[in-house]
Amino acid sequence: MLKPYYKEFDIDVAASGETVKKTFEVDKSVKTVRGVMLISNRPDLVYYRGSMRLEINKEEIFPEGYSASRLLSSPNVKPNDRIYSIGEHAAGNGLIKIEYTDSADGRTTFGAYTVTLCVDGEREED
Amino acid sequence: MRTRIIITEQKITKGGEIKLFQIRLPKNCKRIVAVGCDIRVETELHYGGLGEIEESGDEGHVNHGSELQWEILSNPYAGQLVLQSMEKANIFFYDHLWVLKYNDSFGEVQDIESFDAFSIIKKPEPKKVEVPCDTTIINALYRDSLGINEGNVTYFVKVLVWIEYDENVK
Repeated sequence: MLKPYYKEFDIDVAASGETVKKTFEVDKSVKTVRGVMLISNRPDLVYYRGSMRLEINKEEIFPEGYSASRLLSSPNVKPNDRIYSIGEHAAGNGLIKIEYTDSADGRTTFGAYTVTLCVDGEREED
Repeated sequence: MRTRIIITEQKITKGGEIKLFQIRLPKNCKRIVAVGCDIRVETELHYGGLGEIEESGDEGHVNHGSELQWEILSNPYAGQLVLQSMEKANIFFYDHLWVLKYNDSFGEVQDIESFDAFSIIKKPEPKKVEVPCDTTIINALYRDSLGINEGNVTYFVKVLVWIEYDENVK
């Protein structure tokens, strides 16, 4: 029987216009990845400036340039609706690659911030 | 059948600019299932941005004396986007694009008077369409309105097309 799995991975953005590439690994017991979400200590900067590329088990989920605002959910969103569903995606080798790009936007002033990728899935029972 | 996203970005620099471009789909594309649009602004907005509203007398302000004073913010309008298929579906997507939409939600709980565009009330979802694809080109037209009011503003229009493709066909 499968159990729910949830984990958060941090991406630090230190400079304006920076592209941060990171590879994370989910636990070996994870079978499927069902959804992802972004949260941040500066959601306004992520909303206006962020774009990303996401790859799970060597398969592209979101191409380069995908607006990070589409994966943001504020407290106004019902808790059960916050995760963006990607279907039942096999975890495979468990590797999640994310390329997060910060781009200049005339509506905001840059300050170093942290973007957190939240992964929701299923794992084998202990 | 699997789903993937095709992203095309166009740069707009002149007020009133009309941009004609094409979106190329992969050869194994079977149909288009959804379309979404995003705007990213590079230059500063003089009105309707995150800064203060320019005051013009009492216009836009409702003063109730000692009661709460409400300021009226206009959602800055970017332009219109039209997508056309080369087949029977013809024009299958037509939408107005907004730089910001203040009235999509209320501010966060700790500051009830603030209206923030990123206080998202629900997940943004693409507009669902059903367009079969035998040809792999979509014609697109974008008509700028933001630059007419703001002067020449540099911004990017990002068109996201969700497609279903046959993974057995390379």
